[in-house]
Amino acid sequence: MSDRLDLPYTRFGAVHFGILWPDNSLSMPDWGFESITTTRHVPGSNRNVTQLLGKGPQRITYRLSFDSAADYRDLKERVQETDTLVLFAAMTSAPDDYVDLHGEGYVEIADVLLLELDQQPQIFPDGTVEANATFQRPSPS
Amino acid sequence: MTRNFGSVAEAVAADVKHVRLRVFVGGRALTTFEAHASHGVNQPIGTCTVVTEAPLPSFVTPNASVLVQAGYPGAVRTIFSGRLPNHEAAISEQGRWGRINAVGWASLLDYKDFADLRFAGPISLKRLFQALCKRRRVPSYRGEDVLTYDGASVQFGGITEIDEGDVVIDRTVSPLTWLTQKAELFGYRVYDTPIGRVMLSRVSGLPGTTAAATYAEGENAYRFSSRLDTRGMVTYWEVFGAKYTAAAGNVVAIRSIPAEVPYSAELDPPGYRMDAKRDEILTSTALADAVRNVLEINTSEPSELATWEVDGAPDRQPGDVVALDSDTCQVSGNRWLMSVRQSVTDRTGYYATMEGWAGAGEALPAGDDCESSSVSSSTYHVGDSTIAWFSDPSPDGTTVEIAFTVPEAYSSLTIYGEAHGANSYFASSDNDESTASRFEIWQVPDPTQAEDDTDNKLRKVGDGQLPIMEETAGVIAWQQIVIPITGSVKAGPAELHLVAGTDADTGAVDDFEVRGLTLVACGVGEPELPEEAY
Repeated sequence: MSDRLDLPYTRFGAVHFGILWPDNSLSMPDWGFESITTTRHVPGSNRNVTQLLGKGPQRITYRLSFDSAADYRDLKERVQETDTLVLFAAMTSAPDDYVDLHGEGYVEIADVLLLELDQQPQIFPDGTVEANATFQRPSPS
Repeated sequence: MTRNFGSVAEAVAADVKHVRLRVFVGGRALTTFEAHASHGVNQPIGTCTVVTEAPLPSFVTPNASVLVQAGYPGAVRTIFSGRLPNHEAAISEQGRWGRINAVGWASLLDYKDFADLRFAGPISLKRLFQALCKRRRVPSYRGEDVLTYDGASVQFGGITEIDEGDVVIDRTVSPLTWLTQKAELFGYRVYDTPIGRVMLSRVSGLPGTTAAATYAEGENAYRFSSRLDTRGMVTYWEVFGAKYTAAAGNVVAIRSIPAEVPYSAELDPPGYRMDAKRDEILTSTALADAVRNVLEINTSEPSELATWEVDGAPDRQPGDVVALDSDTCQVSGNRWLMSVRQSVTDRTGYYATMEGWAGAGEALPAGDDCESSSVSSSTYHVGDSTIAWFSDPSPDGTTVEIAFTVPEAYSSLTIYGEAHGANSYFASSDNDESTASRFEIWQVPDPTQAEDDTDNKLRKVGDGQLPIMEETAGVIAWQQIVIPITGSVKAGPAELHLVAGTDADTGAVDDFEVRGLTLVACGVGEPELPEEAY
């Protein structure tokens, strides 16, 4: 089990969860996006031409920790739905609405899609559940 | 910062470039993942397939206009203009996809009439082309003078013993099929072009000396191939025309044969190949001779067809002359551009596959007849915002009206000039509520009479959409514009309206500038509309 970042207000919509530190890492993952390009070589030359086709959606995968199987099931029902994702401000670069919740800084990121959630989570004897979840936001401008 | 290009040639030559694709259906922007357009001189009707989301929006309706613009920042051009005969939507394990299958404007010529069409002869093939396009309301068309190998105009009809001198188009044949068949006899083709103009032009003999672009191995071609083929070679042509009884009672059978058949090593044995062509439209030996000569020129040598793939070239039109250079394929010199297939997808980029034909014989005379006239030399700022870095900071209004005169007769109108800043919001948004900035032609129904508030009221009779012209604030990036005007514009006084679009995302009116507007009218000559035979 990874160390849980004990943040009481991280949630997707109304579903609360904790976020685990990645194994062997001192930092949290951040939003990334695919740069969609195509490069072709002109035969008989040293010329390579790159066409820039735009940016893909921003995505992030967290390992989530749920206090109970019920919380996990609640989030499972939200797969492929869009809602507000609330994260601890210090662990994301997303420049969205900053809110102070009982002295701790959070960001509320609107219009986030819950793209995937592990369908075979790890369930522990103490009732907690761990699963990977991938969230998606629109391309950066 | 996104690099803006000053021309298509500059963009194609660049090693790094953004790609732009925007599709408008019925004038409204459509979210698009792919577009594939195909045009060719041997493909009378251009086609375009657009892949979008399903369900399709309500403005995607049968017969809606379809405009596809593609290119690079600062060098976006129209790569398809046509209409929508059908569309489809599907859901599968791969998702929900809509597919729009559009056809070019030549499709308007591709259905049969309920009666024969009869034209008083003698009449030139160019006039017949113009008349048929006008009758079917083809929005933009241009016919070259159809000339024989020695420069004489091709005229049909005029023999009183055959259909009383008229030219009759049988109702069992569509006008497009008829025109295609007759044009090919003389080395001409009827075909759609990416900009939306239906062309009648010569693609025969050697291509001209001025090339629109150069495609070369080791410089800009990702793939190059060529094929030399003797299978289409014919060195001995017999041409048969009409057979009729003349007024004097003698039977006239039009026939043209060569005085001597040249020896061809490629066809040995026997050293020659024979074929025949028959068409009742050939009512004189001169016409039959002209057809035979064109056939001899085009089939006397092995046919060399080159194929190459390059970055998308949104300004290339079939019928252009392009220069090729490939040591590997032993191809060098000018070629007729026979076909252009352009493909833009969200994952694989924007590329074009082209075919070029070497032609044979000699370069034949051109039959172009364009007239150019200045519309205005002023600079106009269309929009509603004061923009300090514009040439003309104060806006002249969201619609600017410029009076001009349409020449006596024409078959196509195009407005040339320079512009910057138009439709830039479409580069990053496909909000289908946005409207595009455009040129409109307004005219009264009878331009020989004064405007009034009843029957002869001013109304919009033609239009053309400006391309997407991105630019960086503070830096004017003038770009050349070529706006084909579609619609039915008559000779006489008219008004050019420069109309600003609206960005639905912000509610802001588009601000752009234009300058140096010139009108080019081509295909001059009043078409004769047919009489329908019952």
